[in-house]
Amino acid sequence: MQVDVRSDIREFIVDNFLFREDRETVSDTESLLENGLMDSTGVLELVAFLESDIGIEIQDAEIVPENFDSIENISNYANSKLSKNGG
Amino acid sequence: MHRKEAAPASLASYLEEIFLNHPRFDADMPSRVYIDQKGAVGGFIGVLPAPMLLDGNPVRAAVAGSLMVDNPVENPLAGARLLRSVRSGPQDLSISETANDISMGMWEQMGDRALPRYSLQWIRVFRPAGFAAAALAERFKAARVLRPVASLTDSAAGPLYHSALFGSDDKPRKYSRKEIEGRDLIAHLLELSKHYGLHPDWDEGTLEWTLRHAGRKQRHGEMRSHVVQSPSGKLLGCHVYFARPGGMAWVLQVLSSPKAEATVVASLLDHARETGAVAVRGRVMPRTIAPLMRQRAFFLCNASTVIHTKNPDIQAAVDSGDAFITGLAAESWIRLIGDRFE
Repeated sequence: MQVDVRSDIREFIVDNFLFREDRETVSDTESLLENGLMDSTGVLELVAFLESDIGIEIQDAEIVPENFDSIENISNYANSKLSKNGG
Repeated sequence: MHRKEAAPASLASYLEEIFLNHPRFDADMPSRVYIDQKGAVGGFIGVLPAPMLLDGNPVRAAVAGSLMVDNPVENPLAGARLLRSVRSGPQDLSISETANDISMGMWEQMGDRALPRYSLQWIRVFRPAGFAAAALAERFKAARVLRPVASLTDSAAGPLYHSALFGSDDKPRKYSRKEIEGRDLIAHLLELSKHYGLHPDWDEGTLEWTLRHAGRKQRHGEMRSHVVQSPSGKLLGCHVYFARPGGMAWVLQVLSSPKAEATVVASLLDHARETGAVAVRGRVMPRTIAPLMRQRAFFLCNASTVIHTKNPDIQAAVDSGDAFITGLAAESWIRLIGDRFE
């Protein structure tokens, strides 16, 4: 049975991105890009986390807002990749 | 940086010339543009092909730089995708010679580290007040009016700090120096580059093209190239730098024969001082750090050199300092580094 990675992703984003903006919470659907919570370095930090800790392989063409704009989008994207891999 | 005005036409033609008409253009390692979801160009990263040799064996290298994104705050995905795309290309070695803090942070997130012995900028000051005025004038054109005052200050105060400025912990060097250009310069650079285990696989045409473009840089004055020889005429090295009287000279390249680094550095500093530079600055190479320290240069970091390779032999050559991967070998010679387009 596939494990939902949403809590891991949320934990990563709260620990690594929120302190920079002096915030304590972020909703699952809040835009990380439009609200400036994730810069270009943060994008690569997140990509590295998804590849090394979650275990998915990310293609450059997949680094788009539909997959990376919110915790919900990231989680759906990661779960989709894991299910394709038989995760 | 986000600019609202259109880029000058001269910049557009320069990008085409440098990145698309490069004599060693490699279609497998092109520059990249980022097209946003509305179909507009939202970013660019330039890639210069840089074929190299490692102990005689070909190395496919790509120099990645000139990363620019339209409104990066609103579009952080662009820079990340551009850099990641280049880094994952087919080359054996990726080099970024002048990564700023943002770019360096991105390289680090992908697992690459800055190379301090290739990154540090060195500065040797001859006239402190002139140096301060020149440094200010680089940021504020109006500060040029300070130059005459600075010159007088240095002349008046010079005797007070003469030993500190003109002294050196190094022994005097005997050499002869001759200004050269064209085929002579190319021949010497080709010969000297081979003293590094990892070095550019230049042909005469590519090096001539590179030097011609380097000579078009305007910001730091005229490009001057010299060969340094021993009293008996043996080739010791070459230095290529930009200077104007009363300004801060900017070094593009120092190459030397084994054990001649200190003499070539001494020649460079002597010439810059004699021709009226208030200071000289450049980027270190591992073999020039010790001679520069003895010449009382100081060091700072304003941009980082970083590489990515999966080849342990290439990594070992770089780590040991046996790699010629900066200056004319990378991207410092292009006008996008430090020049202005009107």
